[in-house]
Amino acid sequence: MSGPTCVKDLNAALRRSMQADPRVYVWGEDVLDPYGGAFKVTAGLSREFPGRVITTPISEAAIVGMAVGAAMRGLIPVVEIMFGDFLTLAADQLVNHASKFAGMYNGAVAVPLVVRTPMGGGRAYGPTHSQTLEKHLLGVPGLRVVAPSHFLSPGSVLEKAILHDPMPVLFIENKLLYPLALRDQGTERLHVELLAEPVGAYPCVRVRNYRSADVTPDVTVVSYGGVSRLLEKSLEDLVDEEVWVEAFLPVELRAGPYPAVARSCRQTRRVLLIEESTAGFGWTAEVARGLAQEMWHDTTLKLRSLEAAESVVPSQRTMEEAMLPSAKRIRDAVLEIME
Amino acid sequence: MTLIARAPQLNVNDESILVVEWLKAEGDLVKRGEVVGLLETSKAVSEFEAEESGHFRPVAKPGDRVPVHGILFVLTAAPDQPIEGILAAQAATAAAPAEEEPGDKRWTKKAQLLAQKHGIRIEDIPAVGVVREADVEQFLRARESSSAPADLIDGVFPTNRAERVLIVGGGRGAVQVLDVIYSTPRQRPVGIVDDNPSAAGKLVMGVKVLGPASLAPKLFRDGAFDAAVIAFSNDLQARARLFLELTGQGVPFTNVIDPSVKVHSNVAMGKGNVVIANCRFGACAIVGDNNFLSAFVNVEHHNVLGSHCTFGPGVMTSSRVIIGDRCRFGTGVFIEPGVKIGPESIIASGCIITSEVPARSIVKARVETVIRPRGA
Repeated sequence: MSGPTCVKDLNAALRRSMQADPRVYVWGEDVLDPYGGAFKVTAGLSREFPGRVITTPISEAAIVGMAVGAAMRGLIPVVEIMFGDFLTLAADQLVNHASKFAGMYNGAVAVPLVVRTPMGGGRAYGPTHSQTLEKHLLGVPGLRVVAPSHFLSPGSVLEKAILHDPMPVLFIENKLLYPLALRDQGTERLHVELLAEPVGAYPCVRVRNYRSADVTPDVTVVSYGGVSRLLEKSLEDLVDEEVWVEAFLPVELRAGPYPAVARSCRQTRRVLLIEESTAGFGWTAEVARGLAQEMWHDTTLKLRSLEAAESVVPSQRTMEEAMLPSAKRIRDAVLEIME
Repeated sequence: MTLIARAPQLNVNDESILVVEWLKAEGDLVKRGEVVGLLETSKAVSEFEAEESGHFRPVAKPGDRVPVHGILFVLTAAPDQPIEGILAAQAATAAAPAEEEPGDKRWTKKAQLLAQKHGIRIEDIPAVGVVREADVEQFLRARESSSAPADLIDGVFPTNRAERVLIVGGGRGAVQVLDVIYSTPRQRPVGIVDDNPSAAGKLVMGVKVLGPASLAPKLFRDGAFDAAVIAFSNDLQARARLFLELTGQGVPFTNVIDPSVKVHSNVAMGKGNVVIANCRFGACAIVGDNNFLSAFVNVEHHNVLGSHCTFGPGVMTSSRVIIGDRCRFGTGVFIEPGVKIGPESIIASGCIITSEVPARSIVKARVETVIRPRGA
């Protein structure tokens, strides 16, 4: 039942994209073989596609700036930023340039650029290599942010972003998902499916720990990206509590609307929103705002959210564990909301 | 004294480390702090020192890739001391599953909540292995059927027949609610709570005022009633506040609906609603919580009605009307199809609403009662 690992899946998607379209280039720090990138996502590509994988100096603003220009002039650059934490250095290129040009030139140019980067803690990398920073780049018109989980092939999402999305796409990966096997076919206890209605331009995944013919759900969960690793365990554990959870993981991070989530909430009247970034002003707050507007007539929706604690990410492993969301914390939050 | 040397996490990104070479031979005596071999990460080659003194007994060979925290070598007290036992013991410890949950879990969360709801100690429920929701249900059924003939409340009503309703508010609204409850065999009143101190002890249609509304959570915990309903409709804010306070303290609410009310297909209704005679709900209407509908109110099909609203007699909505929370309607209001009425609005008697009403509006029909004095 277990598929390829997420890192292999991403690597294969890059290979397929480079084969499919000669305009696709990969560049970033240390992406050449034999090193193949800090997390080995680009392993083997520089050997297979000589001249199309370019190793760059350590300057994220220059890397992304160069890619914006190349994208406008006809290439499809796929840029790797070694750690998501370094995105702040490229933020100006994304916020003031890549996202603006299509509108500023009235559609005469497109910026079909993909910036890939890993976020997330759990590896004791310390405060500036462990953060989940994408919330700071959400809500920028003209910039698409996607963050697939391991419940849907991240490679399939990457391929769509490279070959079929004319917008600049910020592609958020997760360090702890890389070595995990895909769970897009579900597990013995978890049923995974793609919803018919997407969120934005990308699909939304639904994961349930029950068969819909047998029972109705008790709790709705909404999350995305690397949290899927924790959801797999917590949703499986909750089967032993006879607590039935319907989880939604949209791939694109945007303000909504989330009609499928609202429908589920009308049935369960309990919803838990989860993200790995520090608490406050994040994606969960935005989803909560959308639900509040969609369910304005319903005063009995019990809404909770779970994020990382409001602090720097500690280097010390047990302190880091205490700070980040965990499978146990998700399970406890679901049980608490059942009370 | 033996020491097991493990592959260090020299570079945070690496999952494993490459053994380049050992600088010692099997059995050599190594001093603490002495360099034993060379290890290669994805970025550099590093020297590896012994943490203690002992005889060098390699486990990994040069050229092996060892996972971080995997065993590199063992330092033993004697050069020929067997190390197989040490390695086997290590492997057994590593293979033992981490015990995350205490093994004495005896019931599921669902079972616990259901037992709690019915005031049963979950410890009293017999089951093979973990107590599941179905075990509690079976226990409840068994209890019901065995106790039905003798379990009479006030010596009159069998427990398992009628829902026991606590009425919040003892004024004229209580008279209306009691009138409805008395017309159905499925519910029966067990008491009234009212914050007016002079009402205590009073009887309303044979039902006693037990004290202030704050008594309700304790009465519920004591098993005195099954669900509550708010009977007054004049003070919307108090209605909403009491509902939220009491539900927050675990008091369940029920709907009190006159038998003459017509409910069409696929109507979804929340809790705590009072619906007086001859009201009608069209197909697929969605109704929130804690509304009070006087007689002859028509909530047409595909309407969405919020919570904590009150309606005078004869309010008629057309299809697809959306009404926000905490709205108050007078008598004889007509609402056209698809109109949205924002929350906390007041619609006076006799209005005909043809377009959207923004939140917190007051709408009044312009009817001049006296047109002019009659000529002499």
